[in-house]
Amino acid sequence: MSERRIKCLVWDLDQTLWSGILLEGDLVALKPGARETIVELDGRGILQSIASRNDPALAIEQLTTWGLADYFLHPQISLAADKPAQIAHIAHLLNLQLEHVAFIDDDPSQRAYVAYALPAVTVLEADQAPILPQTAMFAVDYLTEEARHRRQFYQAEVQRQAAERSWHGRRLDFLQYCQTVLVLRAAASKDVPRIAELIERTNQLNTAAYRFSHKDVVGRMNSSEYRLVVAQMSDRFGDYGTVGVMIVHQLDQQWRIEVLLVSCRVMGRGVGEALLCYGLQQARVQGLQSLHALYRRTAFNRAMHLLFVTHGFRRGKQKDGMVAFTHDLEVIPDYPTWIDVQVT
Amino acid sequence: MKSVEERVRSIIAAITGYGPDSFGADTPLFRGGLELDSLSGVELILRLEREFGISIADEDLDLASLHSVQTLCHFIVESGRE
Repeated sequence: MSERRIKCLVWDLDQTLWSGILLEGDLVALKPGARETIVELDGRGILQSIASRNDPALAIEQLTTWGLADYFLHPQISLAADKPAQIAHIAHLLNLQLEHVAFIDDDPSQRAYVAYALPAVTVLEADQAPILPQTAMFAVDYLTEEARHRRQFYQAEVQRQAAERSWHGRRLDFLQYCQTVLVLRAAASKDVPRIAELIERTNQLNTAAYRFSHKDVVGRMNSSEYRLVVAQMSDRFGDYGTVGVMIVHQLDQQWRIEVLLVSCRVMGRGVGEALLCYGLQQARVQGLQSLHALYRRTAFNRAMHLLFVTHGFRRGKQKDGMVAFTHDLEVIPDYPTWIDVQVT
Repeated sequence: MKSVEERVRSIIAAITGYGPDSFGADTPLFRGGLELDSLSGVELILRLEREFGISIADEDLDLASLHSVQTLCHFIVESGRE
């Protein structure tokens, strides 16, 4: 098939993950191969969740007895389940587009309903569960450290979101409370897979004019004309790994930001703002007259346009969907006040 | 009827958690002021579009119009005229 890669697999429970029907008092048993698939996909950084018509407490208890409950993010389990609504909600909570979501269920009518209501979602039959790790849609090119810990990073984010929901008061105060630390450093060769992965996976907070391959990243890494900066984030809720990348083309006195991207996992935390401020500061330290940036408008990345505008970049020529921004380096904004930025 | 400024203020209040009258008309909305980030900035624009029945093109946005409540009100009134 095509390039489509699944980032999240949503499981039905009865007769899909396990055989038997929990609510009818059956003694349910994990389907052969289910555990192996769950663990394998998890290790690849593919997220998993649940859409099921079931008693939530009983179902989670059952998964806990098998040591599997922690593998599922935002499980949607209720007696009045509408599967398309559950799946859409999961995608929303994980900040994923539906085309990156797959749903597996034994019931043909549920599969048909989801396929009808959410045509972008890939619908799979329960029998396929054991062989999913061998299919192209669940393949990963490079297994990064980030991928291995992706679920834990999301779990830190789940906790942070819960704290934010119960927060009364100003958003800025909440951001301070998070005690965010952002480490900015020059990328090393060990970062290449993660950089390539972020370029491939990031849609909303990505200015990239073109999609880079792993090879392109290596090429820039080995070139003295490029500077690659990565941002690693942590806060009081845990670690988020490498969440931002900035690639600057530095040819003599002309510097141009070729890529600025932030993982959607940490959107709204000021990572893009901090990276951009860092780029501006570095350009000024070099005594440059201006800093340029390229931006490709897509259906999803309007926030990045606003990021440039609100940091004093002037919009220049637009050609073939590409916009050139320029900053005159006269007034440079400070790092966001709620982030402890550490440049190493 | 509520003034344009009151309507703008209540939208900003909903996004930031600041009280609608707790910041100045010339307080920066983004960096160095209320610290809206780019994502909440997009939310602000979407809400303004809905509230005022206008359509805001990216090309028309600059820091001068997005700076504060005052500049934003001016921008909205001008947009509504077109």
